[in-house]
Amino acid sequence: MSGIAKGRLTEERKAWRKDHPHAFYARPQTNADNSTNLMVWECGIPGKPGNNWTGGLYPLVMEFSEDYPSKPPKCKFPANFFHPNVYPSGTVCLSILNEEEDWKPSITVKQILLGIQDLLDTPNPNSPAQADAYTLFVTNKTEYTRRVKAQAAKYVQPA
Amino acid sequence: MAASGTNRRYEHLVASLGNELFEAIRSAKILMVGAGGIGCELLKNLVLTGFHDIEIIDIDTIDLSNLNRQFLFQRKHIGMPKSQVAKESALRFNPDANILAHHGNIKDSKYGPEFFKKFTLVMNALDNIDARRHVNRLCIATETPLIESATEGYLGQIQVIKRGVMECYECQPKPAPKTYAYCTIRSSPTKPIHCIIWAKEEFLTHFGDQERVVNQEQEEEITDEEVKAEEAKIEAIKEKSFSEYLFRKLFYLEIYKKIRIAQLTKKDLWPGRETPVPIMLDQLHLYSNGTNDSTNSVESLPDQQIMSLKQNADLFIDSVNRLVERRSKTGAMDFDKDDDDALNFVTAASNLRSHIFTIPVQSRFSIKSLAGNIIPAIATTNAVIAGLIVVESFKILRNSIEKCRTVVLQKKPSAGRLLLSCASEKPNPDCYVCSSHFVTLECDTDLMTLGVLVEGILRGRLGMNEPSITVDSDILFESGEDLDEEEVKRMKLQSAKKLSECRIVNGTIIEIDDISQNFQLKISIVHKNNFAEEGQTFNIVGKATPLPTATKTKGEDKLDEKAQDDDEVMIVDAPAVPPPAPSKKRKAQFEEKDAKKSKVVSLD
Repeated sequence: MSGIAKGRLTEERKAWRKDHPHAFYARPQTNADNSTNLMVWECGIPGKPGNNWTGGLYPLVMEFSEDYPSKPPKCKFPANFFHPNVYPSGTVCLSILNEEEDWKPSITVKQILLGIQDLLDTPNPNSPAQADAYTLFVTNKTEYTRRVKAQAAKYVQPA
Repeated sequence: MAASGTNRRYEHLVASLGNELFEAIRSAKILMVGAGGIGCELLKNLVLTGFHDIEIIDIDTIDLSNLNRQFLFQRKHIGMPKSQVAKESALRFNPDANILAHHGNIKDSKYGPEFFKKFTLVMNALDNIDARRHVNRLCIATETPLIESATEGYLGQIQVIKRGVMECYECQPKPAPKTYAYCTIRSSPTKPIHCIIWAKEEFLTHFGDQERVVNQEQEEEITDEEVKAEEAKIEAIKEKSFSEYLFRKLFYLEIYKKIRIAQLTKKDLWPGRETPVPIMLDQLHLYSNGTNDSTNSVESLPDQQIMSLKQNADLFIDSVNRLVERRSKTGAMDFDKDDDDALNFVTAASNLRSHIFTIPVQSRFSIKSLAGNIIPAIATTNAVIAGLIVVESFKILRNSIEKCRTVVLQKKPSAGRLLLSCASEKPNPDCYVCSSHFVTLECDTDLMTLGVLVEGILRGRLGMNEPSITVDSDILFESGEDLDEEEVKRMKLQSAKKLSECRIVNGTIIEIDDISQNFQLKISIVHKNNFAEEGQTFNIVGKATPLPTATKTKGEDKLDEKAQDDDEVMIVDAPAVPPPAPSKKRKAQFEEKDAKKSKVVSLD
């Protein structure tokens, strides 16, 4: 067990509880015996107001490795999540989540989630991760928008 | 400057205090916590002394019983928030002051460290230990100077607290609130207070929140034909009339059971005392009345009269009927001394139990003061203490906090003085709040649940507000307003677990974090399953932090906590509680003043 990873994650949880953006959630996964698994976090990212993602609360799982925070966590939406920069497995493709690119150990859980929220409505067409959403995004905006809205309805934020 | 020009309000202050101090007063930002007895006096003093920026916070609204001493309030203000009315009344003394009133709980997370940071000085005018500890911790965390104060009857004291300079509110142990062994309350009461505590418990059992943590010990059970027959008879009444059923159960069946247990086991459950006499509801005329008519003078108020057995029985039946009806309409209730039905229930039930155990019966008035932990409050004492607070604040504002004195107001002069002052103590290096943050907890890890650890120890004994528990970076427990439903649900399940099931065993070090208090504490666990005192389930040990270690049962804990928040009533001529004589030891005096609850019940 990596003491560093767990120590950092308890601090992350504390920091999150003290201050987190509205309508988001992020918490360590609960095991069957009701203990917590600090290495896997269940999170929820709300769509920003005023765009096609609005109204949805998108579930995301963060998987931390023993090498965290030297290495970034793997962030996964449900499989087949509709977004140009999300792999069919659900894994998010984002520069700050890439060790080779912009990941820094100082990046917090909060910053990651806000970064992914930003990505929702501003996909990066230069880094496609799935054919489906990417193709529609560049060829048929109307259909793309319809699919995004349908997905928002599927993950509708509880009142 | 404010004192110049047309505004001559402050000329005398500048003349008497000097320009420098007066400027410091004008620019200081003050937080006053509590706008009750001391608070009203203090706020008036502050605005008249030229303090300009003042924020006040109080959780309460104004009650009729406040008006005899909380002079910023009048009859027309009853029901309004104390903080707001205090502000408005004080502004009439000095319209120039800039007062911000908060009607809220100081323990609320929005009054956290960020809130405290903006003040030059915090002044406590509180009425309970719980909130005092909380404010103390926030002032320690933010290194804000705090002036702590308390009064009780003719006694009063003030103390200045600053991290690293003088001892904090928790550097010296406070005596644990007086509690009673479980068996005294359940089986062998000898004093009226025992019966009153029992009656309050019964009230909560039958009319309170059914989900409240009941940690009652298993009562001794017997399988006896006699008892079974009686039980069946009484169960049969339940549907027809709950009040009659409850009467027969509490004052007949349960007592009869104890007597049978004594007979069958040949144990003397009431050594040196008379065997209790169960009361039969339909045979009330057979009992000696228990009251002595001479105690009831014609002039005494109805509340101060001693009721007969019949009157108590009638009152019991009547109050139960009302409470049953209310419960069906509005749900569970909490005991409130100002709720007539609740007080009637406790009065009647405790008196009936007193009859059974040949304990003197009490008037409704005296039961109210015991059950509600009413503490006498005297306006003059509050005024003296509020004046002293301002005097100490001058020293802090002159940047000579080290000159601050701890001052005690005594009931009788010693060496010709009513006020005793002495230099403040240095911080206790082993205080778990302002220094090392490390204590040892002895408990049976196979028996104690996480819930008891949180409620009974972290909240109940160590004064935490929203503790979270971590072991080896594993978050075992979290609490706080920010948790969502799912998290709360999980915490409920966690609470029921035994410590050992959460991997808290002998030698484990658990880390406690209270975000709302910005307070961390490490607790080293020592597994222990034999304690010196019967009923004791844990022991908190610190090298030089000998926290009180009195026996407690969960149910009593609840009562104590509730009690501390109760407001006082002024009874000048005949105090419900004779104030304890000041002892010579300074520390002992502080403790007396702080542990209001312990004094109230130390009555008998």
